[in-house]
Amino acid sequence: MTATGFFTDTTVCIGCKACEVACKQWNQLPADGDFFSGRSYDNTIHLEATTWRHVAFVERSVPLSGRTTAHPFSWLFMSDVCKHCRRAGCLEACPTGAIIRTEFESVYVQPDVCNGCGYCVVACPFGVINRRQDDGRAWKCTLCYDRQRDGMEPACAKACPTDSILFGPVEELKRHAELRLAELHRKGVTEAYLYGMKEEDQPGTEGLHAFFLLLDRPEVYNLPPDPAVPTKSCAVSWGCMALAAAGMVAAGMVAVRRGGEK
Amino acid sequence: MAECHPVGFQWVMEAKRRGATIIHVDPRFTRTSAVADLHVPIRAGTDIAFLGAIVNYIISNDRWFREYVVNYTNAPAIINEKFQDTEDLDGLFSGWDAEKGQYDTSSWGYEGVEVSPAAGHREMFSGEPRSERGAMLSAEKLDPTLSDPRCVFQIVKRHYSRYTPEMVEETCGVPRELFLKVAEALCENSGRDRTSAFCYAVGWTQHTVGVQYIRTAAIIQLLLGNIGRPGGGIMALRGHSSIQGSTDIPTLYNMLPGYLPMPKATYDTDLNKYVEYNKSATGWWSEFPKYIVSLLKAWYGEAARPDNDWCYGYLPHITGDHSHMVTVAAMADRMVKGYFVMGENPAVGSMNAALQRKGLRGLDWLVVRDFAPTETAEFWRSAPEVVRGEVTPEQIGTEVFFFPCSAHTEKDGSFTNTQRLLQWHHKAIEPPGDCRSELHFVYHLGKRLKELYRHSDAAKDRPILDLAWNYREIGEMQEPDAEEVLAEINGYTLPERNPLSAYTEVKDDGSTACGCWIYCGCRKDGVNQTARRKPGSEQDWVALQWGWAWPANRRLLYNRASADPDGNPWSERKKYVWWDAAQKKWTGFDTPDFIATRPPDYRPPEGAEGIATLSGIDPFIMQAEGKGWLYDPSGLLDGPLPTHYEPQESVLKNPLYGQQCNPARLEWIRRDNPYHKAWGDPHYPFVATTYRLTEHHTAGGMSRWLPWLNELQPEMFIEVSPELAELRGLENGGWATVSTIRGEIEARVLVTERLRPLNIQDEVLHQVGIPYHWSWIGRSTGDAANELTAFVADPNVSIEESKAFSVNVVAGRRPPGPRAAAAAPLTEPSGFEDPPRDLEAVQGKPIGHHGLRTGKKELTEEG
Amino acid sequence: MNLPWSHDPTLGREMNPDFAVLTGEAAEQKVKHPEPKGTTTTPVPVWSTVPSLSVQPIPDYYRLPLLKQPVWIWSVPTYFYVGGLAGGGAVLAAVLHGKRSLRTLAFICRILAFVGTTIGPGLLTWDLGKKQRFYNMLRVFRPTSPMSIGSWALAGSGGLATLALLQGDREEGAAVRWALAGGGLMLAGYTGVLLGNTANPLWHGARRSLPVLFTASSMASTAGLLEFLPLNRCEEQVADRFGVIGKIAETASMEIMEREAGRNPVAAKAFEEGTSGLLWKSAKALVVAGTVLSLLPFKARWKRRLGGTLTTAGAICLRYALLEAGRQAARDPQAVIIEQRSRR
Ligand SMILES: Nc1nc2c(c(=O)[nH]1)N[C@H]1C(S)=C(S)[C@@H](COP(=O)(O)OP(=O)(O)OC[C@H]3O[C@@H](n4cnc5c(=O)[nH]c(N)nc54)[C@H](O)[C@@H]3O)O[C@H]1N2
Ligand SMILES: Nc1nc2c(c(=O)[nH]1)N[C@H]1C(S)=C(S)[C@@H](COP(=O)(O)OP(=O)(O)OC[C@H]3O[C@@H](n4cnc5c(=O)[nH]c(N)nc54)[C@H](O)[C@@H]3O)O[C@H]1N2
Ligand code: SF4
Ligand code: SF4
Ligand code: SF4
Ligand code: SF4
Ligand code: SF4
Ligand SMILES: [Mo]
Repeated sequence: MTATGFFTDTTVCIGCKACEVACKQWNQLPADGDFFSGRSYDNTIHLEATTWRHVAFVERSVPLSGRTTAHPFSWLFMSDVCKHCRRAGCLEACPTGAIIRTEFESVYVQPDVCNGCGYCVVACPFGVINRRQDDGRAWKCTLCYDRQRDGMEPACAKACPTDSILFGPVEELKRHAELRLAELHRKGVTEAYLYGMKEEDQPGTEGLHAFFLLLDRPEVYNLPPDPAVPTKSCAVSWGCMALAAAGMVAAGMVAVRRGGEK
Repeated sequence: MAECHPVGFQWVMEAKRRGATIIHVDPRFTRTSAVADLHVPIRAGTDIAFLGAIVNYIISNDRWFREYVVNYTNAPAIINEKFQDTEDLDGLFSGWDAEKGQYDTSSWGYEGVEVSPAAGHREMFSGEPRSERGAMLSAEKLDPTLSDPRCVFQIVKRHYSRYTPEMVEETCGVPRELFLKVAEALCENSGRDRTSAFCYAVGWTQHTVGVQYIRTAAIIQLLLGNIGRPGGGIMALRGHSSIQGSTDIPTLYNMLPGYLPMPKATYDTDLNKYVEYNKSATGWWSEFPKYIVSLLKAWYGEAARPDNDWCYGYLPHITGDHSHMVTVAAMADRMVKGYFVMGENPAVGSMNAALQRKGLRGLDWLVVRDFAPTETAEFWRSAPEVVRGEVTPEQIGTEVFFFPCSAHTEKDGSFTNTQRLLQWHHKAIEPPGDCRSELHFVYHLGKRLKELYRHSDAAKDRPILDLAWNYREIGEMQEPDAEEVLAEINGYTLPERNPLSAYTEVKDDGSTACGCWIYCGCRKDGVNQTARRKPGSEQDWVALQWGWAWPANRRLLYNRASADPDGNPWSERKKYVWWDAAQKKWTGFDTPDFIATRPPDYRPPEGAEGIATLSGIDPFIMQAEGKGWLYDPSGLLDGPLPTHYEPQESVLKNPLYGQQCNPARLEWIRRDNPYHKAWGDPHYPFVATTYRLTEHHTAGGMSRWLPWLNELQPEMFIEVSPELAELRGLENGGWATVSTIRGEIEARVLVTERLRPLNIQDEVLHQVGIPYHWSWIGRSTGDAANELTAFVADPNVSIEESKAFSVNVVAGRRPPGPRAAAAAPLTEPSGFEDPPRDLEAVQGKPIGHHGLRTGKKELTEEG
Repeated sequence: MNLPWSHDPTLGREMNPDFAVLTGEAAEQKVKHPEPKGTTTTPVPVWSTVPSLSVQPIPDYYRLPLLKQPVWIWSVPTYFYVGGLAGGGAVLAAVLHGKRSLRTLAFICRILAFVGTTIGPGLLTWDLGKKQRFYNMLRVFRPTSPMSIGSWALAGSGGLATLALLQGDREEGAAVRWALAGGGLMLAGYTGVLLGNTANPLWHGARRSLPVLFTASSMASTAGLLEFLPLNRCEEQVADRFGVIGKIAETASMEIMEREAGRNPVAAKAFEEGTSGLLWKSAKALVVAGTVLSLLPFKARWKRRLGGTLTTAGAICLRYALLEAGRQAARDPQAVIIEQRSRR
C-alpha cells in the first residue's frame, strides 16, 4: 500500500481546535480534566495518551513578514500529532511488538498486545506517546487506522475547516507542500519552511509521515530541532557494555586467582 | 470571524490564498487577526468614526465609483431644504422634538416626496394618506452632477468632512498610518475590476448605534460600487443556526413572515388601513397586498374570505414595544404572567442577568424548552442571589415547566443561514425519552387549545378555532410532517393545492396561499429544493443547485448592479448578471434580481405605478425609488446619516459633538439598572467588551456540558494587557474581580499582548476582554459576564449594548455578600459631577412604563 | 452519576433531565486528573508570567516539557539493583567454580542469580500497565530494543540459574554455568544500554558510560551484599577483591558518566538540583565512602558490615537517582533543545 500521512500547513490554521475535538470524539478519548493553564488559549498543553491531537498557540512579540499590526506581534497556531516517523523510536523500542508499521506505513500501537512496559514513552524523540494511568497501556494517534481501513480520511483532517491538516499519500503531500512553500516564499513569507518532510532535513528519523510547514523555529512549537531515533546511536552502548562485561569477567578471575586456592 | 464562524472562514482563507487582503478591525488581537494581513486595534464602540473617516477619504480623494454612484445610488437626490445636519446642530439632526423626545423625520426626506423604507419603522410615516408616498424621484429633484449643496452626495461629503485620520487617532486610538493603509487597501480593491466585501457580526451590532454601524459600511460599499456584485457586499455573519430563518419567518414581536410588519393596534385597524400604511406606491413593496392576503390564506384557510378581510382581524395587533428587554422590565414589575423560553438561555445570555432573573421571579409561570435545565430553568433554585440568601425559593411564585427538546439530528427541518440559503436536515435518530421537537410542541399545543375551545361561540376564540391546523402526524410520537409545513411556507394554488414556483405567482384574490412570500419557490414543482446537495465540483461556481436561497434561489441580491447602466458587465473579471439584448432579457450566472425583461433603457412613464416605476437602472428594487441609499431619508429613528456617538458608558467625552450618546437610544431608568457616569467615571476607568470563544457557544447550554469543550476553555477568564496587569497587580492565572455598578464577577486572568493599551488624546486607555459563556450550571461553571451589562439599546432594533461599556478591575476573588444592583445599590454615589449624555433639548426625554426612556411614546403604552 | 435510567438504551442522549448532569460516554470516562473545581493541580503549574513568548535567544513552548518523562515506578530501579545482583552472582559463580574453599560462596552466588532472576521479573511485572500481559515480553525478539533483549536475557538467565542451582557443584555443568555467566553479564549491563537507548537527553547523552556504570555497580552491589554474609577467610578475600575492583570501577564510572552527561549542561542540572540532585549526591557520597572504607588497610567485622551497608545503599540510591534525573531532564525542554541545536 502507499504510505499516507499528514501535511500540516500552519499558515492556514485558525486555531479552532476542531481537529482536537474530532479526534477525541472519534476515538472516544476522555477529557483530561479542566485546567486553566494561563498559556494563551492552550489549556490542554501537550500531546498525551488521551490527547492525540493538540493545537499549540504561540504568542510572539515579533511580526510576521507581510503582515501589518499596530505593534510587533504575531500569534502562531500549530496542530500537533504523532509524526509517524519513517524510523520510529517507539516502534524500535517496543519489546512486545505491540507497535507495528501498518499497510499505510503508519506507526500503530496494537492495544491488545501492549502490556504497558513504558519503554516507548522514553524512546519517542517527540514526546508523543504516553502510558495512560487508568488503563495502563500506551496510546497515541493511530492515523485513524480504523477509518483508513474503511476508506475514510482521518477524523482530524476531515474536521479541519481550512485544510490546514491535509491528509493523503505522502508523496503527493510532499509535492503539494513544496508548491505551497514556493508560493509562500513568492508572497514574501520568507520565514516559512518545511519541518520533517525530507530525509536530508531530518536524518535522525529519516523523515516524517506527518510533516509541517512552520513559521518559526521548531522549538517554538514544542518540536525538537533535530530529533533522532535513539537506536541510531546506540550500537556504541552495546560496545561499551561488552567492554565492561569483559572487565567484569577479568575482575572476577583476578579476584579468584589472587584469592588463592588452598 | 475565525473565532465564531470557523467553517465559513475557510472561504476567507481560500480568498487569501488567491491573493485577497484580509483586514481585521477589532479591539483585540484574535484568531482572525492572527491570519489577517492587517489588524487594526480599535477602541470598542468607535467604528462609525473609523468608517466615517473612510467615507471622507474616498470622497476627498475622489476614489468613488462615479458611474455606479450617479446611476445606482441616491447621491443625486435633493434633500428637503429644512434638513440640518449634526455638523450644524452639535450632534443632532433637524427635527428633534424636545417634547416627544424623538425625531420628527419629515425634514430628512427627499425634496417633495416621502419614501417609505424597505424595512424598519414604517409606522413613523403614519396618520397621513400615503397615496404619494414612495413616489419615484422625478428628474427635477435630481442633480446628476452631484454639485447641488442640497444633494445627498454633498450632504454626505459635508457630514464626514471632520472625520479625518487625525480624528480617528483621537477617537479610535488607531494610528493614522494604519488607518490610511486600510482606506487605501479598500479603494485599491474596488472599481470595475475589483470588489471588496465587509463581514460583520455582533461586534458591530451590539451598540446603541448598532444599525448605524452597518449603515456606514453601506455608504462605503455604495461609494465604491461594491454592492450587488460578486465578491462585494456586506455580510452579516449570523449567530445561532437558522437565526436568519428566525428573522425571515420571525420570532420577532413586530414582524410577520417575509418582513411584513405586525399590525399596530392604533393604526392598522382593518386590512385596508394596514395595506395602505404599509404598501409602497412604487418599488417592489407595491406588491404588499398579495403577500399579506396569501399569508392569511395559509393561516386561516377556508375561513379567510374577502368579506371578512381574509381574517385580518384575527392577527395579533401590537400596542407597544414588546422587545426582549422591554418585556423583561415589565416582568420584573410583575406585569407579565407567563413566558415561553424555547432555545434560549436569557438568565445567562441577556443583559443585566440579575434583572433578567428578577423578571423571571415576577412571572406566574415559565416554560423552558432545552436539552437540560439551564440557568433559566433553575433560576429559582440555584441562582447567585438564592445562594447568597437574598431570595429564597419559597418566596418565588413562578411555576416552572421544563420540557426536554430534541436536537437538530433528531428532527427534520430547514436551516436558513447567513447568505439566505435554506438547507434541509433529515432526522438521523429518534429523540430520546420525552424529548420532542419545537414543531411537535407547538403543533400539539395548538391542537389542545383548539380542543379546549371547541364548544365556544365567543368571537374572541375564533382565531384559534379557525386556524388551519392539520399536518400529517408521523409515527408513534405523532411528529408533524415538517415537509408539509415547508409546503405551506412555499405556498400553493387554491383550491388545487399545486405548489407555487415563484413569488411572482402569489395573488391577492385568495387564489393562492403562501406562508412566507420570500420563501416561495423553495418547494418548486413539489420538490424540496432545500434538500439539494449537488457538490460544488459538479456544477458552476455559483452553485445554484446546492440548497435553495431566497428569494427565487438568488445567490446575490441586487445583482442587477453587477452590470453597468447599459446592462453590460462592469468588467470581464466581475461578470455576473447582464442584459442579453438578443433575447431581450436579463441573464447570467445567477438568477437576475430584476424584472427579467425590463431593458436597461426603460424609463417609467409619467404616472406609472407599482413596479412599473422601477427604471432600467434601478437595481435596488426593494427600495421605493430603486436606488441604494447613501443617505437614508426614512426608516431609521436616529438619523439619516451615521454619526459618531459614544457608548452609554464611555471613558471619553465625545470628541466630535456636544451630544455624547445616540439621542434616540433606549434607556431603562430603574433602580435595578443604574448606569455609570457618561464618561470619565473614576470608579470605572476601563473599557470593556464582551465576546465569544471558538470553544464555547453563547450562554453555554450546548457547550459547558461537554467535557471535550470544557477542557479547551475550562474557566471563566478575562483578557488584559501586561500593562493593565501591572497597573492592577493582576497575575496571569490568578483571580480578578470585574465590576460595574450593576454587578460583580470574578474570573481568571489571562495576561496577553493580544490586548494593548491605546494611546488616545495623550492618555493611556486600557481595554478588558470578557468572554460571556459562563454561568453557574453545567460541567464548567463561572460567573456570567452579563451580571455586568446594562439594559440600554439601539432604538431601531432594540439590540443591547454589550460590546462597549466601562468597568473596574481589581486583583483577587469577589467578596461575598449582596453583589447586584437588582438587590441593593453596589456603590455609594461619589459626589462626582455627572456629565450630561445629552444636549439640553434631549434631556427632557420622557420616561415611560418600567423605566423605559424613549421618545416613541405611542409605542410604550402598557401592553 | 449512577442513575438507574442513565444506561437505559432508549435514552440515547445520555443526559439526565432531572438533574441536568451529563452521563454520556465521554462524560463518564475517567478524567486523568480528577480535581474539584478551583484546585488546579496538573503536571505543570499555571504559567505565571506574561505568557507572550518574547524574542528569547533560545525559545521554547512556555517552558513546557518537550519530551515525556519516564513512567516507571519504584519497582524498576529496584529491579535494576536486583538484576545487577543476579548478574554479579552469575558471573562470580562461573569464575569461582572448582575451587573447593569457595564452595559456599559459589553456592551463595548461584542463589543470588536464582533469586535475582526470580524476583526481577516480578518487579518488572509490577511496573507494567497491564500486568497480566507480562508474557508478551517474550512475544517477539526485537534486536533494536534493549528491553526486548534484556527480557530474553532475564528469562534465559532465570532458566539457567534454576538449572545451575539444581546442578550444584557438579563438574559437567560448565556449559550451563558459563551460559549463565553470559546472561549475568547481560543483566549487569543491558539496563545501562536500555537507558542510553532513549530520547531522554540525560540518559542518551550518557549512553557510553551508562552500561559501564551499571556493570561496575553490579559488581559493587554483589560484593556489598556479600559483605553481610558469613564467609570463610578465603571467600572473604575473593569477595573483597572483587568488591574493591567493582567499587573503584563504580566510583570512577560515576564520575565518567557525570562528565559524559555533563556535555549537556542543562540536562546535567538534574545531578545538581531537586530530588534527583539530592539522590545523586547521596549516591555519590555513599559509593565513595564505601569504596574508601574497603580500601582502608585493616580488617574488622564492623568494617565489612558498614562497607556492605554503604555500598548497597549507594547502589540502590544510584539507580533511583538515575531514574529521577531522567525524569528531571525530560521536564526541561531546554535540555533537549540546546543539545540538539549544538549538534546542527
Ligand atoms: N464558537 C462560537 N461561534 C459562534 C457563537 C459562539 O458562541 N461560539 N455564537 C454565534 C452567535 S449567536 C453570534 S451572534 C455570532 C457572533 O459572532 P461575532 O460577532 O464574531 O462574535 P463576538 O465574539 O461576540 O464579537 C466579535 C468581535 O467583536 C469585537 N468587538 C467588540 N467591540 C467592538 C467594536 O466596537 N468594534 C469592533 N470592530 N469590534 C468589536 C470583539 O473583540 C470580538 O472579537 O457568532 C456565532 N458563532
Ligand atoms: N455580554 C454579551 N451578551 C450577549 C452577547 C454578547 O456578545 N455579549 N451576544 C448575544 C447574542 S448575539 C446572542 S445570540 C445571545 C445568545 O443567548 P441565548 O440565546 O440566551 O443563549 P444560548 O446558549 O445560545 O441558548 C440557546 C439554547 O437553546 C438550546 N437548544 C439548542 N438546540 C435546541 C433545539 O433544537 N430546541 C430547543 N428548544 N432548544 C435548543 C441550547 O441548549 C441553549 O441552551 O446572547 C447575547 N448575549
Ligand atoms: S512521533 Fe514518537 S510516537 Fe510517533 S511514530 Fe515517531 S517515535 Fe513513535
Ligand atoms: S508500553 Fe506498550 S507499546 Fe510501549 S513499548 Fe511497551 S509494550 Fe510497546
Ligand atoms: S489521525 Fe485519527 S487518531 Fe490521529 S490525530 Fe487524527 S483523528 Fe486522532
Ligand atoms: S482544525 Fe485545522 S484550523 Fe482548526 S485548529 Fe485544527 S488544524 Fe487548525
Ligand atoms: S458550529 Fe456549526 S454552524 Fe458553527 S461554525 Fe461550526 S459547523 Fe458552522
Ligand atoms: Mo447571536
